[in-house]
Amino acid sequence: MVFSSLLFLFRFLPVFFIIYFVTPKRFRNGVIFLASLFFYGWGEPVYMSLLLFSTLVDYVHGRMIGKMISQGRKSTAKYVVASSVVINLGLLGFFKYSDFLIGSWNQISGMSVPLLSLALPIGISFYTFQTMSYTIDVYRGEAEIQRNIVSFGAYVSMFPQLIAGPIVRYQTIARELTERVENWHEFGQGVGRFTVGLGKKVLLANTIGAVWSEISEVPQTDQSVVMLWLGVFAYGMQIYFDFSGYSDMAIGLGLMLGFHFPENFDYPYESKSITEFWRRWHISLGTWFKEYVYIPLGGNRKGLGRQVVNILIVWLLTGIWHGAGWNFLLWGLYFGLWLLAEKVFLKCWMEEHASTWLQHVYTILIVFGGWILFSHDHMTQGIAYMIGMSGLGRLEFMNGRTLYLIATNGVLIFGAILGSTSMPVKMWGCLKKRMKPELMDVAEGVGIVMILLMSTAYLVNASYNPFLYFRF
Amino acid sequence: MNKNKRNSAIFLTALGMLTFGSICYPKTVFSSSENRYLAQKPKLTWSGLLNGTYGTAYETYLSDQFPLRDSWVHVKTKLEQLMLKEDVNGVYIGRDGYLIEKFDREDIETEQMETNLQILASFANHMVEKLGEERVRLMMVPSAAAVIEGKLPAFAAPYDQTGIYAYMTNVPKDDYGLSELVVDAEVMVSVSDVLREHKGEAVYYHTDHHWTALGAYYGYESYAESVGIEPWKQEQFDVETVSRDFFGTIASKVQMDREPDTIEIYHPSAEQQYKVFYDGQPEIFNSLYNLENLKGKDKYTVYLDGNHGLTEIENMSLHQQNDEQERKLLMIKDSFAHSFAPFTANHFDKTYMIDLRYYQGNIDQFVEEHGVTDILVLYQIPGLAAEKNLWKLSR
Repeated sequence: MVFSSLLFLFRFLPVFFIIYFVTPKRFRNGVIFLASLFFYGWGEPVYMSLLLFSTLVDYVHGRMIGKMISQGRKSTAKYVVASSVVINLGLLGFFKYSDFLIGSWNQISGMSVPLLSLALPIGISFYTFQTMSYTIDVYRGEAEIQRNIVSFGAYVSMFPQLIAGPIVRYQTIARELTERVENWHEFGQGVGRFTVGLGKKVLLANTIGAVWSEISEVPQTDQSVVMLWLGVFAYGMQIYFDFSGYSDMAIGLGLMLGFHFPENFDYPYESKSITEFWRRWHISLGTWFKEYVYIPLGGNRKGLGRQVVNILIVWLLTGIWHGAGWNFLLWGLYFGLWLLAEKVFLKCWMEEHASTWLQHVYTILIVFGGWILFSHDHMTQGIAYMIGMSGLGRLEFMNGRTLYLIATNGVLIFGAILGSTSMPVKMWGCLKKRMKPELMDVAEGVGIVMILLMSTAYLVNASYNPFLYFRF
Repeated sequence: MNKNKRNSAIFLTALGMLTFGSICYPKTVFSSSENRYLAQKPKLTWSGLLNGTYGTAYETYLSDQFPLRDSWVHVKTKLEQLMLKEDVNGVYIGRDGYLIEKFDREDIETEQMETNLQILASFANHMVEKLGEERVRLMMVPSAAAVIEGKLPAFAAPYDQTGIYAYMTNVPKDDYGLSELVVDAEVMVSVSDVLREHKGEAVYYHTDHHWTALGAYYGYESYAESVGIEPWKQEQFDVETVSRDFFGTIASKVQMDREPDTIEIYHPSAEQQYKVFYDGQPEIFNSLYNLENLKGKDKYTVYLDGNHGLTEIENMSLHQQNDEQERKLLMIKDSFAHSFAPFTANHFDKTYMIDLRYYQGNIDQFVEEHGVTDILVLYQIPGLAAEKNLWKLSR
């Protein structure tokens, strides 16, 4: 199930709210657990077993680690952590990467081992990472063990962030699992956050995404250099609004239930460097890799040579986490190399000698250049696309079809640019200072209803509602 | 009440009302504006639940049965118009009240189109051998976007659908050995040139994808001339307006307030007697127009009762006055032929119309058995690009 669907909004959510809030507090985790299983199993009921398996395995591992540590056998506990990591990565590897590995092996060896063609269980990249964080946190003494398997199940399967993050580390919400307080104040904040996310996804991501999907289908005879640039722009905007909209909805739903999930996006397209971009884009994934890979590998504490290796490892992993394909690996490496360059000389030089304006342009170009790699499964297509953009291909610079695309989507393009910056929020803040607060509050309420109704109109209208992050 | 409390209340109320509405709103079986049956509540079975098909079916049901579906689509169209979108749901919001379907190169130059054009070429060549070049014609009618460009919104750059003609008559130099996949230019009726000459007139509906009876008349004119028949003049017909409130298929796609279309039918001034048979049924109709159908939503079916696998028209008047060899026309066609056939019916003793979507017989055999003397293949170009039944011609 996805949030941006009539089914979620007008069946699942109202029924869930009623059951959740009439249930006494101590059973509410159970409600979350069951509802999440239902939510998850809607599309692929068989994979519910995967979620249950994950829950059970990590629960048992957690208990074992807790016991060993209390007995002072930390070195034995290490093996249990390893076992948990192996099982989680095994699940992820089997379901997500086996076909990629088989395909690559076939290519190298010339053999033809048959592919498994498994349907990728939704959100597996997210919840395996979360459950690993639990056993590791317990081992490190950063979190208490969870003795209640229902509460633990609620953490693993938590539907608000199950399929597209943010990746909530166990220690972040360990306390809220048992002692959270739901209240109207935060429920109201959650409502605002959720609605904004819904609007981002349905009104912006899907519509600008339609521009990208049209351009990606345009035959070469009708392409132009400007059209290809517009295509990358549209893709980058789609992926931002899609993903950050989904995170907003997750955070909003969390607030309604009394959870505080970490922020996942902080206007990344406003960044002045790639380093900064990755601190503001998919923050929870960056934190995860930093906490559980980069720092354990030694981070920057073992000399520059080792740090370079560590950075490259982290970025190759980040790349392949995004999808089982060579283009994703390359995409990760691409960012790894830019980050290294910034670390060694680029950032220092830019801060001293380049204008702010130039820093923004540089960041946007590198990031959107990355989206070309990201969006093309076949490397040759990606390279052809870049050649087309550079003007070195045989494409016209501009043509009638491009002009029409710009004309008919002009307002949307402008809205997307504006919406990806912090400008609207800041303007709203300024407006608030000048206007009567009661008036602004009413305006907010009206805005919430409007976005909900407009999104409903688009959802009823649309059969077009693919969710990009399902592949992750 | 404080802000957050109020926002919560507003949100929950809106959510609750829409949920309640979608549960209680009466269910519809058939949507006339979409011209299709809507999904009904699926039966809950263990197997359906476990393999996920129940879930998918339920979601289709929920969106199909969402209350006031048409109004939501209307709202969506309005919003897009506010955002200055020039096309909504694949439809250009044109000038002068025209709604025009948007087709780009990738919509027309499909793989299916390539296959279809090859089938048509070899079918036409085969029939030319059998009946003679004067007797076989292919007529591919462009959709409105490629004809009435003046009615398109600013900057619109639709695909020039007549590229198909060039494909049909030229072999690229390096593609030898494909000569049977090409037809003589003679065989192609240049209907798009004729329509473009008359693009200032109402040759297409404002709200429907078909050509009007007038458009069909010009199509008839160019067909008749190409096969050496003298077409009847427009003055030889009395034009009757039978409906002034026709909202066609394109209007349904966008749910916009538009002026309705008028439907005209052409009666020959010199009265003609016809007999019409549908799908080999014994019932005989004496008119080419089925005025009953104007009461329904799909008013275009006034012409020859809409889609049938096989429609036979017998021209009794022609029968009486002519003792030359009988001419029998077989049309392989889509619905564009329905407003067109009433004109050609005046020149042939018998007109057979076959819609390959519903007709299962062998065409070669049909030609033999019925003594067909003339063949016309008549399709709308975008429709042809998606047509999946032409393989029946190559059996």
